[in-house]
Amino acid sequence: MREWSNIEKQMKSVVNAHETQAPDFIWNAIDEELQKSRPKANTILYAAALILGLFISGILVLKFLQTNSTHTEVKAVPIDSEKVIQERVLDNSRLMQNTVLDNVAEKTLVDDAKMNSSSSSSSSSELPNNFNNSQATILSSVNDNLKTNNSQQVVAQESLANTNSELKTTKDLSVSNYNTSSSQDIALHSTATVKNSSKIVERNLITGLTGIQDLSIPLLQREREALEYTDGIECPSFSNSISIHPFVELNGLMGLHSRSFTPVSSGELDVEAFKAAREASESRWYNWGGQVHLGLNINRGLYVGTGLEWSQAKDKFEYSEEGVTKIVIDLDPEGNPIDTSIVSGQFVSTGEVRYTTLDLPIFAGFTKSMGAWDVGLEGAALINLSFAAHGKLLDEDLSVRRSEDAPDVYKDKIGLGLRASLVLRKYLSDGFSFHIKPSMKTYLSEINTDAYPLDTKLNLFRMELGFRKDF
Amino acid sequence: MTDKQIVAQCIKGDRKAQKELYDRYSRQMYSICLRYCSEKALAADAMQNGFIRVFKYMDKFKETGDLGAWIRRIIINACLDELNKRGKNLTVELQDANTRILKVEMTPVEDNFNMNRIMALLKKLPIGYRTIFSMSVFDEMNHKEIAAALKISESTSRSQFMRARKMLQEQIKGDNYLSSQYLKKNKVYTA
Repeated sequence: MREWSNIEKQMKSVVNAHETQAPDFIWNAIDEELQKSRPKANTILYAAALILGLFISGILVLKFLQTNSTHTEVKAVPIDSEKVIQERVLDNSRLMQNTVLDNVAEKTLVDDAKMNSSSSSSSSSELPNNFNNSQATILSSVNDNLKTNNSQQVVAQESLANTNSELKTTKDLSVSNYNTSSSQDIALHSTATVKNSSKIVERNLITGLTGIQDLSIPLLQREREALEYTDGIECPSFSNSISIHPFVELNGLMGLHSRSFTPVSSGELDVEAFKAAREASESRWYNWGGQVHLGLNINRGLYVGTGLEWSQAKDKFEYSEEGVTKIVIDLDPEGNPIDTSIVSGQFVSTGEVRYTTLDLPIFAGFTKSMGAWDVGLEGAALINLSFAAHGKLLDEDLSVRRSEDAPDVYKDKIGLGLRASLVLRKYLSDGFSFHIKPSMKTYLSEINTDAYPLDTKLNLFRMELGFRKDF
Repeated sequence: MTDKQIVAQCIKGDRKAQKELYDRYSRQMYSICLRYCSEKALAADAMQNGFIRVFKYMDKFKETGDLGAWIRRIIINACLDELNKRGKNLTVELQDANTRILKVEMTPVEDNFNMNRIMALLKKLPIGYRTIFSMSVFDEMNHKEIAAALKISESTSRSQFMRARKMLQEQIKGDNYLSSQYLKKNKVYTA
């Protein structure tokens, strides 16, 4: 007899050289399937385009909202010049009074400082204590000075009168300039008075000067705008700083899920028995998945976004049947049986069932800083883009078949869903953070087709772990 | 058009390129499907699903590889899936099988192997033996690959292969397949 290895080689050469013309219907079926699968690719493109569109329109909407909410429009109205001048005169009188008071205070302060410096027992390092006393003296003496210093009030009134006359004659904004220069003159006078005093007194004087300028500038600017009003003027706007930053988020997730059966009346079928058989043969295992999110951080911890969420829930399948006897028949290519064997015993079928979902979320969340972590809540509405079930399941006649061969059992899309998450975020570096999100996702519709005798909904509970990069 | 060009066009979804690739490899692949699957309908399903996978995952094909070998591996996996999927269709309840009369064509003994004889020899092997023998000898898969594909251990693959080989040796030696003893033992009646 020939060597066995030679026989195998000969068989191999014959087998590999052999070709058989495939029936035409195979290509037709393949072509049909390829035609069907093309729209699926388009669906993914549409989904990507939708996400991009939502993202861009979100940015535009938020920019628009930002413009509207953060700009204070100054409404220009015609102003009665006389009224403005009168108001201006009143304001100036107040300004002058304040200036006089400040001057009095400064003068008292300088005198006090001089007194301190002239005292031979006081060194410059002791000045702060004395200075406190001086401040108290100033405060108590301001009212007295206000009442008694008639000569200074006269000066202020004269200045007021001068201002008033200039305003009346010129009705010009140079009034403001005049007034500013008056204030500055007084300030310069005060400066000259304290030139020889100690540094601490000088510092205090500078603070006093700043006070005078701060008081005058906003007043003058507002009046200038009012007096220079003309039709068609472009009103200025003032912007509060609202910062909007995009972010990208990547999450991995794992958890448990629930999927209970609700019997639906279905003719002669014993739905309760069928439900019991399916519950006995399928046990919940775990779910896992991944998410890509794009979004925008808005002020005060608020954020919105969208993305893609893929997840797979796994069940274990185990079905056994006692006392089964079967004949296994092998068939030839023509379909004729050529071999048989008898098998008796327990029929056991095991496997796993996988429920795969792809969702498009639109989410919003809010976080608040609590120590080292940001804590918050996130909610999302989901649009299911695809749903697929793979693996074994029991038929209504309690025979085992595969989900992918049972298009009458599961939907290929399950509509809308909701997701709620608790957010715990820790910033690792500027703009880069790690987060943990215990979350729950549920679908509003059943995953089975309408005609199926058992309704079942998919609820997923999981821990999402991921990173976010803020830009 | 070279294989490389066809692959590039197929990735773009060019229908003509897909047809050309199918025409180029369909005869060889269908032969493989017939070898693994017991019936033409099963082979056709495996062929169909296999080629759909080929087109679907065409972008995963590495240009440096052998396109024929890559398609062959996908087709083999499709055949194995079909066998698993349709496993229950090959079983008949005992009470229904009692009256079955099996038609068997007796093939004369030949000195040299031809495809028909090889097929006949293979089909007499239990399906597990036949599959492992085919994968190992004809498709040059090692036991690690076979074990992974069939979700069995490597040692199981080796032992099944050795048994398949021994059974084939006995059949070839005696050229006694479908002998009266075999038929009697298996309660098979010839027409």
